[in-house]
Amino acid sequence: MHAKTLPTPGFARPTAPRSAAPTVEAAVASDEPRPLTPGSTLAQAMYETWSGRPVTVIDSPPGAGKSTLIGDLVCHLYRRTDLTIAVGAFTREAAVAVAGRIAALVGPNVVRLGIRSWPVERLPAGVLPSSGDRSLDTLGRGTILVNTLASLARLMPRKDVLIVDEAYQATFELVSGAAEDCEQVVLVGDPGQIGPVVTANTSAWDQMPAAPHMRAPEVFSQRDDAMRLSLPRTYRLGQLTVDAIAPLYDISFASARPDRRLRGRDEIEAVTIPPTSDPYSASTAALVARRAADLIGVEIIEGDQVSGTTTALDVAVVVSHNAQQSAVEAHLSAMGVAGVAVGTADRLQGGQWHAVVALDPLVGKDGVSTHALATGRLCVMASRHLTHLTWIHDGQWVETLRQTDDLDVEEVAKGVAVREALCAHEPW
Amino acid sequence: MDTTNPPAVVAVGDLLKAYDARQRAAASAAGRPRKRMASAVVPQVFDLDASSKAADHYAWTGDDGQVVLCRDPQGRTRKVASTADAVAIIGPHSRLVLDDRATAKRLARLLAKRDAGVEIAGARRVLALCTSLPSAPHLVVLTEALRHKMWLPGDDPGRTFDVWANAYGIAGDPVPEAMTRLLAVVTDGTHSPHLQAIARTEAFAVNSAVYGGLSNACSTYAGAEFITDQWAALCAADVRLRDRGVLDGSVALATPIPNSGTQMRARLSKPFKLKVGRDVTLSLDTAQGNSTLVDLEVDGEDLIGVFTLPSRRTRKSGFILEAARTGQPLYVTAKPFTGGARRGGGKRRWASREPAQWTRREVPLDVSLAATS
Repeated sequence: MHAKTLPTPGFARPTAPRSAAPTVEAAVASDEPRPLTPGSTLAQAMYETWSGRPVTVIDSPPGAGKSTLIGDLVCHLYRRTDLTIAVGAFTREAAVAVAGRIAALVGPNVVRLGIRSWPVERLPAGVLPSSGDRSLDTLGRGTILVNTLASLARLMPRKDVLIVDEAYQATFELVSGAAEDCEQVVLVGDPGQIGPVVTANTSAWDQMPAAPHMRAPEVFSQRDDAMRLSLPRTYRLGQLTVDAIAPLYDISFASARPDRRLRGRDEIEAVTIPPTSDPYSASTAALVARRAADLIGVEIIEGDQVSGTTTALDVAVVVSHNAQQSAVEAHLSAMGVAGVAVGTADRLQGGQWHAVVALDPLVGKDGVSTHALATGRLCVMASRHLTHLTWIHDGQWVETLRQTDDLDVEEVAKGVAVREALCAHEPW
Repeated sequence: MDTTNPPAVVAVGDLLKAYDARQRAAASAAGRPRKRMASAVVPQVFDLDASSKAADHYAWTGDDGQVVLCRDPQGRTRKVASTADAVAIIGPHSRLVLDDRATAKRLARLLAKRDAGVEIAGARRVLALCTSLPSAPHLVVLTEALRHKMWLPGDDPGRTFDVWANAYGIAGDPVPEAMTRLLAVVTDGTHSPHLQAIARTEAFAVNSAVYGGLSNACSTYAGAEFITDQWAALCAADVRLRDRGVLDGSVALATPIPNSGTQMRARLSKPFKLKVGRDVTLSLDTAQGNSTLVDLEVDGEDLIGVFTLPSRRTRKSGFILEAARTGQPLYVTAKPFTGGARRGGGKRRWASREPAQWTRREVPLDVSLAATS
């Protein structure tokens, strides 16, 4: 069972093995882009970009079709205008995935991946490798340059439009550097997700209303020439999940997911495990791995029809610490289970799987930290699943959150609301 | 499931506190501060010429609560009583050595004027930047640098200058001379490429911080991020600090399971934070070599890491092959990023709050209609 059988294919799945296979569509790319749906966010974004608006910010809930929107927007701009285009992604893998998706829409030999060290044999179909010539890569008309934001910030390509994927993962400093020689910026991202990794002490800039370490769309959208749009529907999440994570968003959205479930499983199931103060507990890792293994080989039912059976590639485990990831991977390996995606929320954001096992960051709390309480992390963990979420917690989170006197009350309240909704779904 | 009787596990924070307490106890037993880091924690100011070096300033809080300043240990002292006095000693062209954070806060208060001129605002930004960095050669807060460099005897957290002066038996010395002595402590030690990179980047960041606006803030911030990452790499590699790093997982200890294979299997300390596929540095004493973590296995409660081995014995990598054969534990750290900080290209167009000058392009009717439907 593959995600691409869904009605809105092509979501980012950068860390899953099957994401690097945008091949078939490349061969059938038509000369004309898909028609614009009247009133759609794509149509509005197309209008704003074509008209020359310097900044367009597009907010998206999880699974609302960000990647599809970027692909379609690039395709329309490429086919119908003479604007030169660059696309920036946060990671190398994400850049490769978006390059493949765009190539599938615009046809071969138009998209150039600017990552010099990326092996040619691993390029998606139809994507040109870096020319090795900076001026060709960054100035060439007629090609769409795709690269990481960090590389773009060094190369400073001279393009008319820079489109940024997963823009909320990047700081303003990074995106403004990448867009230095671009006339327009289109920022697409999920405001509920984990923000950029900021290692420096930011006290020197905390008083600035627009600061370099802030999430890029938050600063760009303060400009008078910025237009803010949003995607209204999620095609990934069911309504139960939408209701659960709604407190984390300022935009409203609804579920447009087809009726789908795993046989014998609810959309959300909360599982209580024995409390532990050790966030790296081997027994917790073993329980998580076992649960993930149990979700392999389960029938997927769409409407009244069995549409397939989950494989290891359809299952993911989302944790909050690298050490937890290592432990769960090792336990799965010991069980002879290969192919399950295991990663931290930071690493797996942008991906989607039919079944996801998420370990509450507050399990094994080692002092209540901002890391464990971050609502972005919670949002990612609760929104990677297409069909089923197992939410693993230790039943102590109410008590834990009650002790958080020195943390942002509003953020804590959001965390409580989401956990209450997730934990309301104990299985039979 | 049973939710009673949680197993008793010592939290990482408590492990670190206990480790620190043992080191402090050892310093107490020795009756003097003990080295916490082998590395120097303050590099020389980068690119400061010899004439400028003469412009080092020492500042501390006097008995009357005012900041006192002198140009060199034997020089005359004077009060820093005005913003102009403070501005004159903070910036890219000299090094300012402060006794402790309280003095830094006093300087910040002197500079905290509303509607301040550009020079005052610049000095305020440099002060804010340097006091937020883990290592800032242009503005050294001695107590903070000493807390990085040394274990202080006793229980005092070491946030005041007097405590350190007492620990070194120089409490009765003139303050400038005592400060010079303690400055030598924090600049003593190895000067790794990480420390040199910090010096270079800090000079750039301080120069950027002098000027206001979001554009310069971006350049300064990029420098601060790079310095912070380099500092973390420096701490992880420090031969005196890495046992502490093992406790929080910033460093791992790998105990090889001797075999004759082409890869090294090693039992790993917990928490283990590195991912499969990651390039790593293996260390023993001061020797360092490169490897890759190719797999993780589980053995009961333990994690086993599988590492690549050097294909041949060289002077640099021989210790890894020897450890794989004998089971000698090795330290494992992520291979650090060695590039430079992003510097940007002058003024950033998107950092301006002014709307961009843009001319509306004509949009075809079908697109206009679709957008407005």
